[in-house]
Amino acid sequence: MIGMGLWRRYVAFWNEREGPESLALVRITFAAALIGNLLEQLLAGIVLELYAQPERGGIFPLEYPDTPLSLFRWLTPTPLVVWVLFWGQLLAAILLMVGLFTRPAALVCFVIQITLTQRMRIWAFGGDFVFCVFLYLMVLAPCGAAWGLDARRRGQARADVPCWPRRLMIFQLTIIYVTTGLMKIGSTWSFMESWSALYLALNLPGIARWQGDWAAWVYPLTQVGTFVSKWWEITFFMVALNMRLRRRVAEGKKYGPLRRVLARWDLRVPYIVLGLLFHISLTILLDLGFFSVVMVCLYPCLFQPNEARRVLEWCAGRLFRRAPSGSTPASPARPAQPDLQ
Amino acid sequence: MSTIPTPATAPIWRQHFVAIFVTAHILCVLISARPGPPGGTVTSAELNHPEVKAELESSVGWLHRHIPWRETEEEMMRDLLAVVQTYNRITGAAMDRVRPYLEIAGGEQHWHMFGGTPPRFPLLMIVEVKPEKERGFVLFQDLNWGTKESSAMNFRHRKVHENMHVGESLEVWDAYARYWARHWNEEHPDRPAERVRLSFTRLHTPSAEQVRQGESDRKPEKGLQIYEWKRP
Repeated sequence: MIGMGLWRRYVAFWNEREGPESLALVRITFAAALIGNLLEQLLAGIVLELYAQPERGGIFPLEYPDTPLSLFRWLTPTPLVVWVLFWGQLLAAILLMVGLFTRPAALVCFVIQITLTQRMRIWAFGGDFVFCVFLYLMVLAPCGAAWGLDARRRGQARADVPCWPRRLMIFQLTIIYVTTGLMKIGSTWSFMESWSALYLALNLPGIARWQGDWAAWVYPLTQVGTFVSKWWEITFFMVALNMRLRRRVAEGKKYGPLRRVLARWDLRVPYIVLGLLFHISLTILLDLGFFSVVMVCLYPCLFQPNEARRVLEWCAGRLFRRAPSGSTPASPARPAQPDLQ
Repeated sequence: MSTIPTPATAPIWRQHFVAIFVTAHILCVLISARPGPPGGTVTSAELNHPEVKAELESSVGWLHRHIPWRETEEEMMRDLLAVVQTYNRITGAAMDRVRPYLEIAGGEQHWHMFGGTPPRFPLLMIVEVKPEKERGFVLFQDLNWGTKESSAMNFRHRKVHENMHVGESLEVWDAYARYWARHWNEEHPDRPAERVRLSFTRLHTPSAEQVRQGESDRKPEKGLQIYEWKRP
């Protein structure tokens, strides 16, 4: 009976509902990052080099795709096919950003991303895989429920959406950071070799934007950077834990001293600020393409619907001097309480 | 106004379905994202790689000095490798079970981006070309810092070099050499490429203290992993 009760609570947790604004904001920022990633390839003039057959402008021979979703199981990467896929994904990403035919657009983006990432396996960076896993979640999530042309066509935004897609996004973001942090077990990431990992990274030819001798003169700073980035990543799960505890406290749950301390401050603020500093520093110091951009564009999944609403209204006010179309009016049925996960 | 999430409104069967699906998804992702060596294996060739050797000497040496559960570092290394191989075998078997789902759900979760150790001995690719009717090779691409070629190169080429160093097929090396031959021919239509030589140069990153004392020589070791392509 205890097991059944726990299961019912577990089912209820995943099926809770919330305002659609957070998902809408992630959809917009993530689609913008995808568009940026495609434009970078276009402007660098490497689209055919990455994807086409060697004798038709590409570089590497086609390997038979592992993934069942790859369109290159049935299509040959001729220049025409490559350009159709490329422009198709760009168009779908634009539709995803403006929230028109949102779910089909997310599906098209996802399938083409899988196809292209698999084709350019030898070229692929972490950022390409981030696009793949989050586009899958975009397909599952009702991202077009607000702040998009789909919502405008319906006449109004949906009052609420399930919480689980956004919670899966938070889980996935946490997994990326925590796993990356756990992999930093090398001695240069610890006192064993005096936290020298960042210094070494700044001395990687090609990846580091400048010859790394300068880093020797700010070595203590690089040591601090090594320590902070490693432990910021490993402890990123604290954000989700803190969100959960603060929500339970707001509901009136009484906790012991440890969990009370953990729930006392909103840990999203320091983690997001550190994350922004981390990714801005990476982008300035190292040439890693769109990795940092896509990661930062996922941060809105950490915002609560009312916070996302404020962000979007502020942006829309700046851009259009009025509130965004299809925005959700605060539901009168919802009580005015702290908005917590 | 702000809100706490409201209770579910979906039919009961659908609520249970969502909970089961989400749980299965989380389990698959957790299994796939488990920490482990890139590729999931530890071979003797990998253990003899200069980067791996330096890392093991440093970390096992430290363990031996502070927690010496065996007489020698070599014995401790064997113990640790046995643990790693067992861990890889068990987690690898779990991974085989979840791979079919992950192939549909956007791929496996290899977040090695900034995991691992930045190389102490970074590698540079060098491209040399022997033009037709000329006697020797000329340097075409020196991908060290500050060179024109390096600045012009898209960041994705660095990933290609990394993968080629770790062990891509000869077909890949051949295709990459052909790519540089085409580039050479576009830039030098009067001196078409007859041969292309790809190789790596290994640098040694000096310590911060050495650099501050004016010893910033990176002691390049040239001519590693040479591959030569000849025009058919």
